[in-house]
Amino acid sequence: MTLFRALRRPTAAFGAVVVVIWVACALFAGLLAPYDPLISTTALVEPFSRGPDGKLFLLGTDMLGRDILSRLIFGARTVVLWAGLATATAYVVGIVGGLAAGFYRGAVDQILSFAANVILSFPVLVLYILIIVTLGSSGANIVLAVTFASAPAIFRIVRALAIEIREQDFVNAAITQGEGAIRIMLFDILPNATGPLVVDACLRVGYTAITIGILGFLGLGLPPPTPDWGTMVNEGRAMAMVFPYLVIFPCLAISSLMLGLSLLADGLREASREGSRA
Amino acid sequence: MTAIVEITDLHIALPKGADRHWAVEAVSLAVAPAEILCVVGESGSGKSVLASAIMGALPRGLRRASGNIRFKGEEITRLPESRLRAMRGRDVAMIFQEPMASLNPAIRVGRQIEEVFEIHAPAMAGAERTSRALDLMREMRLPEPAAMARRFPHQLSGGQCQRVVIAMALAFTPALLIADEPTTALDVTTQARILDLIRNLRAEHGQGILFVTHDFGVVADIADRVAVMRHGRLVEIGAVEQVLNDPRHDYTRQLLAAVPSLTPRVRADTGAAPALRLEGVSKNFGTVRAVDDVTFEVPRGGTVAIVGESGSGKSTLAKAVIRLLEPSAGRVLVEDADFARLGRGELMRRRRLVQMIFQDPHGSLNPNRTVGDVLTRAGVLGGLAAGGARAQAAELIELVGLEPTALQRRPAAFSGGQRQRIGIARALAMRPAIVVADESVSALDVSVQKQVLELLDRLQSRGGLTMLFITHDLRVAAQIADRIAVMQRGRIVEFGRAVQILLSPEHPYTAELVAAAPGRAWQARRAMASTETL
Repeated sequence: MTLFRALRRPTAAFGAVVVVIWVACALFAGLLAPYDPLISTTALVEPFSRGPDGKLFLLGTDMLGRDILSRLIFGARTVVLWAGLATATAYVVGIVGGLAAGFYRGAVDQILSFAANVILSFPVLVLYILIIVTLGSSGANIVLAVTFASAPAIFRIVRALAIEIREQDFVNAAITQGEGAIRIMLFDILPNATGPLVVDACLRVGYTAITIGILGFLGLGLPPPTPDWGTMVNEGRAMAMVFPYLVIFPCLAISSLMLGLSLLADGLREASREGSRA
Repeated sequence: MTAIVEITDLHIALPKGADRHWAVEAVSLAVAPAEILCVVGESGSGKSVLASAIMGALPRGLRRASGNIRFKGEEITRLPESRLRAMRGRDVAMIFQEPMASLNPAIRVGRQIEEVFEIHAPAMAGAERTSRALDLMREMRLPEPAAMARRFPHQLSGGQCQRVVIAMALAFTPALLIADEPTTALDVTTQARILDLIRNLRAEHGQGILFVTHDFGVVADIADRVAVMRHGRLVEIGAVEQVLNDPRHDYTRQLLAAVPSLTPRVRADTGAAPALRLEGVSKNFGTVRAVDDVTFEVPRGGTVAIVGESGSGKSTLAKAVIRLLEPSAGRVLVEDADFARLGRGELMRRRRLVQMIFQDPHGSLNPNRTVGDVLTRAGVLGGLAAGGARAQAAELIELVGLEPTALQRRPAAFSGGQRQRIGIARALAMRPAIVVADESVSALDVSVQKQVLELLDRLQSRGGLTMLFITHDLRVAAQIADRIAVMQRGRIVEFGRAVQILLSPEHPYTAELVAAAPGRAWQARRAMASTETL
């Protein structure tokens, strides 16, 4: 319901379209990409021009002669898959911790909150670098790093919501019925906290996409030759003065995804506010 | 005598998509000097919208479609905002339901009164402002005005805050005072004193007062004339004696019949064994003793009402009985097991014996679960198999007077009264030995309140339901309880048969509560009249 109301706003609908396009790219990369993203042809063909063999390269080729459009489309797969997966894992951890802390309070809350605050007091980027450098760069380690860095913030949101909902009489009613703690958390508290969490999740997937880009740019992304937007920016950096399109297109890809998710999140937030007023 | 304010054929439109077209429809009325006109109605009747329309301060989304409002003969509906702003607080003043919310918590109360002078009389010297503010506080009979002026709102009681708000409203002796449920959030004894104050002020300054209320008891105590509103329309307007004693309109008659009477119902004492025994129950919060050594019994199939004002510890006691709070001392005996000392496992097994009906019909049902799901789950937790629990849910929903289709809906589809019925069904689904009702009818309109009380009564005579009924309203207690326990500052100061407590209270505090019950004199006359006709 909230989603439908949100999509009636033009900005949110635009955001949703951008997000859907990138998700489609990730799912159907093999069908949509004009070329194989790993095969070299002619290096440094300018955008909108043809190579010597007459092939059209809409966004040009990089210094190894790989088609940039195809690499962006396949790169979407990396970003959408790993950003989605990492955010989901962070959410599972944050929700479990947040529900427990908000429901039980007391010692459970104090210990979890202290741990969360300690992690949050580190600069996020330093955390990422530490984890990736120590464990090596792989998809699983990116998920681990993002979970470690994002879960505390999600924990705090869930905890605050849980504390508020915990005070409602329907939770008291469940307690006096002898309902088990886990059922109360899952059936009474969590479903009533989803609104703000969905909005936050949209934004967080975007942040994670940027993070994966930054890691790629720092050379800590997925090992080559996997196409990855951040890595593409990094590789193009040296020649950016002469061939700016090497950097511009991957940057546009990252920012368009982030913009799309932000607009969608804004729309959802407004729509859920309207919904609670109605 | 010319009216201070005269409203003719006022229409105020609701936004599109609302359940009706007009918030206020074709309302005409007038307030004369030194007159108290009570506008009375249930929630959604448009009485508050009418009040804010006179101030030219309609809530967002509402707009005046037609009609006139004349203030001292001058049409004010077309005045520019700047003129209206100058009038507000000087010629027309308003007081609201929540005194705490009307005051700025960060500014000392004396200063807040002075600010009214700053706005409307910028030329006044600072010393004069201060002395005028102190005069006002004295007139409101606030103790030690000089010391009081230096306090912040949270350091004052609710009644004192409302006096400060009234002082601000009366700073310029406005010709018209609009009071929107000004005593609803206050305790009965405080309410009685504030009503007294408003009556005296009217006698001294001759203000016209438009007094919005939902309580016919308050109407009987304060009104000269009464306007009854329903669905935005004025159904009846007349002198207070006429409307209360000889209502012309059916709706007025219905409303009056629903007002709970202070006359207790008489029930035979069954002499049944106690279903619940409290022995020396206490609850401390730090050094504060919220519940202090409470001992009494509730006989099987009987109802004990615990009556007290806010802060008396009655809700804390209810929570301690039901183990939402751990009692600090004492025993809570349910079926001869000490409920207060049960271990975790045993407590989970016996939870079903003591169930609660909550106060807020909106917060007590999970908005995400269907009614059928809630009732079936309660049955399962009460020890039934899934099929049996579903069958029981269907029986219960009918028992509380709802359609079987209600089972498939979520709470948002129901009104406050219907939700309270669902809450009752949920408590009964556990097949409890005792039900604790914590202010369970306080948030409901009188007509709905009457239906819910009747439902509880019917359940009780049918199946030996035992109830501990917490309420701040002696009139409700009179209607539901066999015995009444009066609580003050954590202690039971008087416990006895409802008849004895209401008709011949022994403790001075009980006597004060009974005397402060709104509309007492009117009810006594009414009770007399009804016995004569019998």
